[in-house]
Amino acid sequence: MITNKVQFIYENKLIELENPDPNQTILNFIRDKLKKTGTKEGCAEGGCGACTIVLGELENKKIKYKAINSCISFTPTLHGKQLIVVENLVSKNGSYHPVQEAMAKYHASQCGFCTPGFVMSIFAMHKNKNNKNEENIKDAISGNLCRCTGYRPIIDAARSLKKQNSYDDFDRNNSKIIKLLKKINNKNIIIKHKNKNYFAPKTVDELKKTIQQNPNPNFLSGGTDLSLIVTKKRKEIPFIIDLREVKELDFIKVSKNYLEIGAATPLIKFENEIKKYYPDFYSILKRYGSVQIRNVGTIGGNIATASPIGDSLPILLSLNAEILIESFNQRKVLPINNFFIDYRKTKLKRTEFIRSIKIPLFKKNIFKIFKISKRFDDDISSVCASFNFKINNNKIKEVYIAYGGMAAIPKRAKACEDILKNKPLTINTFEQAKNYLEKDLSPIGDMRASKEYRLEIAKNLLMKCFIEINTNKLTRVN
Amino acid sequence: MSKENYIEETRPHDSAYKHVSGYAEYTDDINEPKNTIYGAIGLSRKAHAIIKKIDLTEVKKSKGIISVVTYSDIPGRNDVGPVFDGDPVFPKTKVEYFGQPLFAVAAITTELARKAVLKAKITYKELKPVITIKEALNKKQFLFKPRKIKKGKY
Repeated sequence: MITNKVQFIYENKLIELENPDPNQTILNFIRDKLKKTGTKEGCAEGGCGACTIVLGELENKKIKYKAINSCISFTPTLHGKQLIVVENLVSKNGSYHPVQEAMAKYHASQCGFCTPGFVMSIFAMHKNKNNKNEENIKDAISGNLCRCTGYRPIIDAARSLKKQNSYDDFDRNNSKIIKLLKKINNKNIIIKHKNKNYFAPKTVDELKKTIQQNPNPNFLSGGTDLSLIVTKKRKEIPFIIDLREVKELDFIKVSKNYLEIGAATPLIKFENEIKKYYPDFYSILKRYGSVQIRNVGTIGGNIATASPIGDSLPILLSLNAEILIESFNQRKVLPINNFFIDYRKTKLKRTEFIRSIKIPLFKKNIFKIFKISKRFDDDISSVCASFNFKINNNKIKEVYIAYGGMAAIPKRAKACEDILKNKPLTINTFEQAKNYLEKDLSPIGDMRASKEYRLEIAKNLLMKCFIEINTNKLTRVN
Repeated sequence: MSKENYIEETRPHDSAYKHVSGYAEYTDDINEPKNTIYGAIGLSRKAHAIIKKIDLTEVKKSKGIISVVTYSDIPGRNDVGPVFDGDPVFPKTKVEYFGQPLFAVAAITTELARKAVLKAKITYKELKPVITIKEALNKKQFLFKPRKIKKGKY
């Protein structure tokens, strides 16, 4: 069963697009085709949030509202969702949504260019009833930049909504929207628009067939990295295979010693599970990307793009994760330790995809991650260090240390680990071990940090880790 | 009775509701008249350099291009410094910052204009940029002739 139509809900109606341009961003679709210009283009790379829209998706019979960056999402990915833009928040009778009222009342706009994006981020938070505390509010808007009003009145506006009933037009039309969402077909999508092709298979079997027939694809798994080819380099992506539509790749399986994560599981779903086992992993993911990014970005995408600043990579290295790889006729398991070859080069072949990632659960270990970046939230790491220790009777029994953001690939610090292993947990052990990081790491110098600074920080973070373990206290700033 | 005294009352500003609803119109939001042409600017990829050659052959051949302009197309004085000189529209020989405009194009769509400017082949002779105050002082590279204010007899 194949279709060339993208179907989604907009203004309480089912919209159908036949063979839309798969390289067109949702932002351009909204502005050029729907002629709604409230959604703005700021950075065109998912960093500023001016283009934030909300997608309604059916999850467990309820509509879940997800804020995303429309500037780096392609139009066909609207399939199966409800599209909500800032203008839609105003009722037909002209009354404003409580989020809009609050933003106006609390003077949360000045030049107003970033405002629609903030409104949409806060709207999604409000609708999901996820505004319990300050942390939730700050997380909800960490992907929106404002350069004039300042965040204080915006936070005030968001805070005032806590007392507000979230019942609105969207609730009033809820059953109608659910009915419409259920009407949308679940066929495999094949779009051909001039020389551009887009495939959204629904099952792994279909995915394999698609790869076999199109052996040189670009896999789309959120697209927070891939889409920049279009928005920044202004090039075309001729063959896209969207992995996010393969439901078999979106799962979390918990077993006794492992957590298995489907490659296309969005980071936001993953972070809530990993929180139970490795709270630091959760904290780093929150800083790694905004809600808009984590709603679409996936753990498999993070690994496959192998960006040296992908924060989950050093973490997975120090957890000895394994990657399950498949192609149309093969299956294999690779330890993440020798998966990265060079700058954005991995052992993944053109026709292979990541099925899942297995993360061992070291239940008795001490696991700590530190990230150093210029901005606390939503910024690229100068250094990201991940430490995994098993300590028995004050002796280091197991140790896995990995660093990211330092050079072309994330890397384990084996020489340092060797020095630490089987040594007593003392400051001398660590003072000695930290110098071996010079053997392990050859950091680059760039606008984020000089190589000397990176190396010094790498050493200091090891010492910080020791102090935290030794005193059993956290030394964090946030 | 109409209220005339708004002192001490908090009220949303004039544009607030337009901002929060997305109906505030910014330049890029205005519906263009038919046959509008769109511009894009070609930028320097070096911070400090001598421009050896600007080859715009591929830019001119690019799809949808209507016109390409460089410094040589500027009829009058090539300087737009609002108070002091030193701000060329497009520099002729020397690039002084990363992202300095070097040429511009007009095309039938924004997309095609932006695509075209990336096709320029520009060769530079790189110079070392001066990026600290100390370096600038050592090299006596001042923005203006330094002025001194002194007290006492002269």
